[in-house]
Amino acid sequence: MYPPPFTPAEMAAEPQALDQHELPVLPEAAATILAETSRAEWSPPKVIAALSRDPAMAAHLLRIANSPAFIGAVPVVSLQQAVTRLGASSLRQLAVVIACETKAFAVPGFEAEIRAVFRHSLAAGLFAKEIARHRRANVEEAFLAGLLHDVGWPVVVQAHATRPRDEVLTLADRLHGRAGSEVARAWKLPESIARAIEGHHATSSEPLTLTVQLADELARGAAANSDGAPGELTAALNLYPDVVEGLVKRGPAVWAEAGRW
Amino acid sequence: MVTSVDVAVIGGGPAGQWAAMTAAEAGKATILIEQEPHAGGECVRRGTIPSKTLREAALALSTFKAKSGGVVELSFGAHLQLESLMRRKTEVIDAHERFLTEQLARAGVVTWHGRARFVGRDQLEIVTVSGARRTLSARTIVVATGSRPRTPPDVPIDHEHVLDSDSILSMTYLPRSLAVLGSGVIASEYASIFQALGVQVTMIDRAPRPLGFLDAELSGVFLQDFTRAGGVFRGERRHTSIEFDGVEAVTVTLDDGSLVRAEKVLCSLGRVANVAGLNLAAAGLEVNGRGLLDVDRELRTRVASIYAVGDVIGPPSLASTSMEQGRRAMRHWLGQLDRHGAETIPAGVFTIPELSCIGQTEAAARQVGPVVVGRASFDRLARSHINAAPHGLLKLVCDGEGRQLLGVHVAGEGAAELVHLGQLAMSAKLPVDTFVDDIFNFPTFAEAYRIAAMEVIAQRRPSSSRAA
Repeated sequence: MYPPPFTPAEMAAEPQALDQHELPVLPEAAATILAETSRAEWSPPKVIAALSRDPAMAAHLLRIANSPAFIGAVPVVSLQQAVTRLGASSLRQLAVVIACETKAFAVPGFEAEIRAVFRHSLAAGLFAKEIARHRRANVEEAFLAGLLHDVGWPVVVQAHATRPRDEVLTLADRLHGRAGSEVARAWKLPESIARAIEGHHATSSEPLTLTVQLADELARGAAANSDGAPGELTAALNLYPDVVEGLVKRGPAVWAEAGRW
Repeated sequence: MVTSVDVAVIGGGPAGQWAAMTAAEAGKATILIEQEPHAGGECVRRGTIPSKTLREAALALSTFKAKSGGVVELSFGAHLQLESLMRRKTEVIDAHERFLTEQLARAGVVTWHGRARFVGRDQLEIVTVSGARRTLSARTIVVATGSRPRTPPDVPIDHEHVLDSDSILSMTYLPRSLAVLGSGVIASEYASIFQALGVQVTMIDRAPRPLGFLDAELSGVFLQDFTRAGGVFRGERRHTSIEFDGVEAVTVTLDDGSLVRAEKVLCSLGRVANVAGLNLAAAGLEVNGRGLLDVDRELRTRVASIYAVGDVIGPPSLASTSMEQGRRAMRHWLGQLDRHGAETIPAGVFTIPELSCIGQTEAAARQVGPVVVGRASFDRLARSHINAAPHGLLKLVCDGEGRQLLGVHVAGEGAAELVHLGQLAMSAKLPVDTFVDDIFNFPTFAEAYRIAAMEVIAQRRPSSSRAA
């Protein structure tokens, strides 16, 4: 779907992805959650305090915490309850989800495209989770890698927003993998995730990268309501036709779910 | 187009490999069908090899201080990245897969990557991962599809907070605490490995002691070391509910009302045979009440041309047993006589400490007749003290005369290697005196055989000692 990445020669001639542009800064609450929950003895009160200082983010967290992907039967109504019920790993995932949706990524004139990229990203994150479960690989890591695989797209748009619109979109398509990996590194996410983001349009044999590539395709298929899956990727991940069929069938539900967030 | 061969083997784990190699080496056209891309199966990639690599790291870290005489202090924090302890695993796996592939090719085995299903007693349909189909007809078919972790209906395995033995090593970080459901080989191996890495481990099982199939003294040594390292064993208990309750903890409620809270839960409550996609009915086969394939002494199913070997016919789910079954089935089909029986296969359990045995347990032997038992505690071995590993036991179970070995049981460093000496003595029917008459290297763990043998000889009745 995307044009191939630049060759080294083209790269030298082209403007750099993030030329003199600041990487998006995580909202303070999200940064606190990421930092706090990655410690062995994390403190729920600190996380609650950080969220209380950012009502928009708190409201957002409650809304997502109540989506079927995260929580079961009983609705979450308080921050205290959300933080203690969700636990560290879910909070980490949520913090990143919310960070992706905040104004850090807003670019006037490109709102519709960026909204579409994030809905696609959430769907890819959910698909990556399912693929990881099938492969008995790490579920949280797959979700984050899927969720963030296109995070570089709005970053490139932001960095080059002053150029003509067509040029901006072309640059974003071409450079978003590398830009996204820089974001992941700046946010101190595991290197495996940064590598998967960087390589999601390149040839790879790394299982996490392949997982993201397949999740990307499945999310695209779900949006277009198509029922195919790329055979090369599923073969590389050793997913047999019945498993792939099961994943593709989840498409409409995943797409709807991604739209709710 | 139908491909015709002498032997088709379904499954490339230890049982299937040995069946295929035995047939191919006898000149039979043999095809091995494996659903994973590499020989050895995915279990090599996510089970046996990574777990043994992690175990080596755990052993090295946990014994480093002791072995260096306390000269070097070593500490690592909680939430250490698990992957960093298994960096070597890729090399180990690659080397092992290369070896397996070469070994199969050298024997003349052709490997197909795909899933097989019966379409008749002597015909299989193979579906590749990309969906292509081909038909294979064979004079004999060996089912060696193995097993996978059982998912009990009341254990909410999500591979994120509640894991099984296939997904446990996908954890990114070492958890602070781990509850292990079960006390079989896999449960005990992971429980002791994670405990050695500083994780607070609680084992929960219905059985009164872990590893119930082993000689009671061996499981005793395991339990002693596990609890000394800080582990907790909750025997004769069952879970009544398991819930991920929020702040990084799963709560396991036990049938006595007590709660075990742990960051992660490992469910290791048995394994089930992989038969779902085989379409057994087309071959005239069906599974028994336990979901396994029934076989006779020669490992034939009720269809004479179809054999079943390895985990698909049930416990003990050990690679050594599976290899022997694969080999024996094909030797039977080839009409080659076999002097070996099942009792000459050792069992190795890679817990910390290592446990291994061959032959009868003391309890089983006593049901048949009088026995003489000799023991060597590892604290009597110079080698043990040098290695800073003085906990261990070698136990010889002999007949009532105190001459012939009925069983050998070893717990402690090097147990899985050490048992092979006893195995050869049993296989060659050597009297226990051999261990005293022949001189072993000093200082070695093998000395334990001499000490235990002397204890056996000392118990001989005067009349029988004159007979020697």
